[in-house]
Amino acid sequence: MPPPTREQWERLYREEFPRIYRALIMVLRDRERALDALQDAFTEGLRRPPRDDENLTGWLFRVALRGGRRGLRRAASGAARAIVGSHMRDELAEALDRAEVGRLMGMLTARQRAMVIAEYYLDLDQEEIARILGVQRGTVAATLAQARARMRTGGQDV
Amino acid sequence: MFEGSFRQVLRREVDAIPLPAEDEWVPRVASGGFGAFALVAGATAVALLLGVVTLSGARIPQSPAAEEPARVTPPARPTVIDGRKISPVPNLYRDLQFNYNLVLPAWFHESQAVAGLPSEPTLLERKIFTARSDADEARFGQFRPWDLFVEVYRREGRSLEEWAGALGCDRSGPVGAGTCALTSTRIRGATAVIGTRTAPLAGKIYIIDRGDQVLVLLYRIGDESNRPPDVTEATLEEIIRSLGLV
Repeated sequence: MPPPTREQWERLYREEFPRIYRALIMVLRDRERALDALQDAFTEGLRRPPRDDENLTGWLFRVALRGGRRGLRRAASGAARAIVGSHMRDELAEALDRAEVGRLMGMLTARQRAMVIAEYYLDLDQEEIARILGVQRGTVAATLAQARARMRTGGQDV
Repeated sequence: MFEGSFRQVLRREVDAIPLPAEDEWVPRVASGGFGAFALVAGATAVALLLGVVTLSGARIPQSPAAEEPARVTPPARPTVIDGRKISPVPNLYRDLQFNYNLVLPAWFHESQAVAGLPSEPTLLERKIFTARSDADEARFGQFRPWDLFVEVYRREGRSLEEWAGALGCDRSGPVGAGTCALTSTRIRGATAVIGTRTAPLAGKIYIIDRGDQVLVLLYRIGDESNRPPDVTEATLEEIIRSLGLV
């Protein structure tokens, strides 16, 4: 299958934005970074289309996740911005903590959150998750098991 | 217990997260091609930085137009799995103020929980890199095993060995409950000393000459009960080995 054309890529972005944006929010816990990172990923997809055999949802999530991590460092580069960023994180954290799943996800590391969201929300299989995070499939299975165990300590049957 | 499966509840709650206004994210590329989109995306990003963001109906104060450091691309550490080249996603951390770089594994991030830690007048900057969740971080105070501290101090004419002593590692032998052995070396062309402390407060401290400043990287080893998943001493050493001095 050839890489997507610009129009196809734009359509995919429109269709996938809500899901991937929300997935990024759950992992990064920062709206500004999630939005910025996803837009950057879309731009990168226009510039360098994914390989033919890529899962495009997975590709967008992977590239945006990488960009979101960089955004964390950018946000920390200025004291004033860091204060605003902290405020936004507090607001978001409060909203997520009000949600049952948000509270449980707060118990996880960023890596565990990324894997849980990829599997349970984006419906990516473990092979794809392994590719996204650059780890072996066994690591994905083990990390997900650890994440479930940790969430169980939060009193939920996961 | 959830009413419904975890997957169902997760989807319901995540799908309830409000989206930004459409004009903040819908691409407008129909007539202008990539350049036009890049312009729109760039303008949108700037607008987001300068503008008002809504979260659950609450209005957030304006972000100041802080100067953005240049973007960087993390160096790839390709891994071959089943004959396929996999590109992992390490992150390049750049400290533009004190001119050093570190490559962090994808699951590490900079901790926001630095307030409350002891400080002193010569401390110019402290960064903590961790693989812990926010909730997990809250368990720890000053003693944060398995996290990497990077600190910059005003040198004030002291030798690296004197700095090592001041930071708890002295050539003269036992310090506290463990011992700390100090060796001299060079790191990225700069003079440095490395202190290796034994249990029960096992860990390592790297003190690097930066002219009128010293750059300090240190970590402490905890036990299995407080070790984050996927973090070992080798992980922390790999991060330190990635240090770049600009």
